[in-house]
Amino acid sequence: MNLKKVFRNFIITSSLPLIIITACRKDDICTDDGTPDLQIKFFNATNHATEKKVDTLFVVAIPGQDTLIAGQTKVSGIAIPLNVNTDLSKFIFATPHNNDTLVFHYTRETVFVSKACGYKILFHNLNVDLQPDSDNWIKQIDIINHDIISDTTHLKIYH
Amino acid sequence: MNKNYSYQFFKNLAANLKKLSKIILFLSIFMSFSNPILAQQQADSIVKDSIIKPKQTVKIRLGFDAGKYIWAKLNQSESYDFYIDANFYKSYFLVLSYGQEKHLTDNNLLNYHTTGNYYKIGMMYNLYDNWLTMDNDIDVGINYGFARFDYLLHSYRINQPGAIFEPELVVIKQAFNNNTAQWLELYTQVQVEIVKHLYLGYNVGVKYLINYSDIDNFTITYIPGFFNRNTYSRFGFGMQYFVSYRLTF
Repeated sequence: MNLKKVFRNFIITSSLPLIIITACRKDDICTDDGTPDLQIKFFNATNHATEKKVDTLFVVAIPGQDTLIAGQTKVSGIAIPLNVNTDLSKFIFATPHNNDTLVFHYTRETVFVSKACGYKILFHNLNVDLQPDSDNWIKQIDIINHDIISDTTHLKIYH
Repeated sequence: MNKNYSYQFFKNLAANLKKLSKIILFLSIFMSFSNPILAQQQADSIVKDSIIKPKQTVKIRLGFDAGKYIWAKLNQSESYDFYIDANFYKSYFLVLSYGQEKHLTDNNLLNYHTTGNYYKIGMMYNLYDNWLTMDNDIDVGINYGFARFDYLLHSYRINQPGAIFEPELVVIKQAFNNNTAQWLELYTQVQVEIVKHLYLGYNVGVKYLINYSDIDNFTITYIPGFFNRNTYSRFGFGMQYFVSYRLTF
């Protein structure tokens, strides 16, 4: 057999399918993590060790009044996206008859992920202020994790 | 939630493509040995012809990558690629390439320019047996490529799925200069003499990135001469449409 011709035919028959296969790449679609959300779990104010679901919960961002959670029932935990443009985020956490305002303070670190995923923000030095009013339904807040770099629980709210 | 589904989908797709590529490779090998046209050619070649091949002269071809130039123009970029191939022995060619690129990458998260140049040196072998005055090519070749380039990140937008406070566009104008990359490429090429001394051709190649420089808080993405670096693999893919002109001495 003429090896040169075998080789030539091999190249001709294999090059087109190879193009099609190598041209399909998942590189342009982001499959890695973006900016992590703040993870909150709800606990019992009288017995700190037990979880306690919120019967009906509303979460609204300020400013903008964008509703993040609208009357979800039996909520044991939530994930909220913080504001990546400033060092603080303000939210109203509300039950049907009671509004509490929470202000989150943090510092931001910009981290490059990949071409498709771009940059993400990691939050550090997390602090939270509960604005006091005559009747807060949130009794106490514990920060479990001051760095929001992954999807673990960062905050416990007792009610 | 959506993100997880799409991730799963692409994972499956990638696995299936791997299987498919194995099957195609096997089929190609099989077909190369069992091609009836080839068998016919074998039978014909038994009869020796008495024509004496013309004496070989030194041939140098100058080429220009027209596809790259036009494609770049259509994508708000500037690219040139020139090459020289010299037929130094029988069907063997020495190939030198030089290219310059200014390329804009703009997805909704990143907007940056890549500017730089690259050199390639390689060997090429013509598998095609030309009749007398014909001068066409079916080539296989290997190249070593070296690129030096700068990035200028104009702006970015933070990636935050499900954002309630819409991430603002951050205009940064940050430069990441003096990056390098080296790669090897294996290609096959077809060239046809259209009029005397003028050729049209194309090639397709698989590229393997040997190394690239690290950048703090950014990464090597686009590489002049290599095209996009894939985040998940060192392999790349390239295609060229070119015009070339042969000088004979």
